[in-house]
Amino acid sequence: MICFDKVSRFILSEVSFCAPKGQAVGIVGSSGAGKTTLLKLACGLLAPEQGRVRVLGREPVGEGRSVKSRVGVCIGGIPLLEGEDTVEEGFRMLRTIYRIPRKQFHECFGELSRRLGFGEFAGSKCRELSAGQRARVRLGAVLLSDPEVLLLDDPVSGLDVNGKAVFRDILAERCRRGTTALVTSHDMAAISPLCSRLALLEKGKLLFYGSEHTLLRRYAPPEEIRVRLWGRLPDLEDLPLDSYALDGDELRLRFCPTHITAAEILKQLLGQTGLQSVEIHRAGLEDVFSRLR
Amino acid sequence: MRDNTLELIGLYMRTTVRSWFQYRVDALLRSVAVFLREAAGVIAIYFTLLKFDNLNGWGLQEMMFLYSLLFLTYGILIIFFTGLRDFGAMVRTGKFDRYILRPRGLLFQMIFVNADWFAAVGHGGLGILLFVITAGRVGIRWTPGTIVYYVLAVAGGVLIQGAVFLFLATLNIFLLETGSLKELLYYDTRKFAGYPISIFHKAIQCFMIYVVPMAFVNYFPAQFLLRKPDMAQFPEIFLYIPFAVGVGVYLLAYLFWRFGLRFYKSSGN
Repeated sequence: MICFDKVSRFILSEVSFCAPKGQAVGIVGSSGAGKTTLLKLACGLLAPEQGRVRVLGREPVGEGRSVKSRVGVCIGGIPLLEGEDTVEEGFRMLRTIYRIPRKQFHECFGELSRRLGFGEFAGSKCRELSAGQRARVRLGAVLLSDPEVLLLDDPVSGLDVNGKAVFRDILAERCRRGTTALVTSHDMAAISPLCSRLALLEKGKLLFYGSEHTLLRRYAPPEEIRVRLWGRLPDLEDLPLDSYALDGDELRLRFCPTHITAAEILKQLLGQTGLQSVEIHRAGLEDVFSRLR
Repeated sequence: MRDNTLELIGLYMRTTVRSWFQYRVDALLRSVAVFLREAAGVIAIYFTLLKFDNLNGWGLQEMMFLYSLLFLTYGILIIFFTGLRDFGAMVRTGKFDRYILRPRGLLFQMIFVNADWFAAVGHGGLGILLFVITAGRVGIRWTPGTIVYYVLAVAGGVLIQGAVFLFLATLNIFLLETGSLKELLYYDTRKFAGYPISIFHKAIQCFMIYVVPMAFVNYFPAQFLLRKPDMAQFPEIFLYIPFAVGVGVYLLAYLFWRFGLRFYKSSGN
């Protein structure tokens, strides 16, 4: 479990939330919102000015080796492997540093290199890798010791579609086995499939913490259906709409998805008239985030 | 769980050597260049001193013996303390954050990840050469007792200089840049330590005994072995405590380091 209790540091102001064991929490916010600061507080690179941070039941600053070996951290600007080492040598170095048994290392390295696709360049020097290759290797390096807590700063940056899918699967598997993860990104659409909960940060303040479903239900702006009519104007009096407007033969209906669904509205319309075309404009997470800011 | 510290030290050494050998010719010439650079300084002093009979009772060979201790201890020092010497750069490149995050001792990593073996060969080689040339000519009676004293004095000298690096590294946490302070507190003081401190003004003597105790790196150990008359102006106890001073100042610097780490701020990403 990772807990922040009224934590303030740099831009962060009284941030409180708890990531339960086995959950992946997406920390989302624009640049400078305090996402990386939050991760650095969780891994003990920074101490809070106010409040308390607890990871695996301990305050992470100055924490001993037993806790550090249970936490995997991947933050931009902090190199995990030596540039002069090949990928394979770098992983062997991590095996020694984290005291990973040989058998477990070979199994884990084999699996990660196959799934993340860095086996084919395992003999290349780390400094010679492309940005995308480096992203895969960094993820492999942080996952190698099978940590109980993962702190990942923008892990999908640099990954292609396939890489993102593989990472999503691996993260889900690890969480099912009890790993707790904090994953930052400024791209809400990229992070929401990875995480069971979202923490929205804006200028150091926590705007929302909870599931994507709750976020949408509570803060989603009205949705809109645009239909071109093929007959008479239907009777809309019984529908719980926010508003409607007729522009030529195009009818625009705005509604709150918690009161009525698009399918229910269309069913009502089709019962009364014909429709030439239908367009549904549904709010995404980014729209919700924009609305909250 | 099996202790694999030696295996890790071996891996760190391999990485360091490989990093140096990224520029092969430079790496091969590095030891030679360091040796020649430092030897040139010693030769210049040698020819200067030829003009004098002695310096406050210290003859040429004895002066070179004094130098040998300085080079030998520095040669060993930079095997273990290069990471602390170059601490500022380590913070700027994010490597220090990496060491904090790893489940290994912080000082252990800084010591073994950054050992400057090539410069160590240059400095240490010159120290050994000067020792070999002078040790038999300055009238020291080498007995098991003096040999043990010499070994402890070298260890104490390494610890004293290591303490200075550790202290400066800790200051780096608060001041961010301590290059000038390092010049003043270490390199300039080390230049003074090439001579018998009895030739300097009282203020400099006090500085080298009580502030940056470089006098315990070579002057007092050499005095224990050579017993020169200028020792009369210092308390005799100084002859017997170089190792204790080394342990003491290193412990103080280590406590300051532990205290300073609480104020460490990771740089931006």
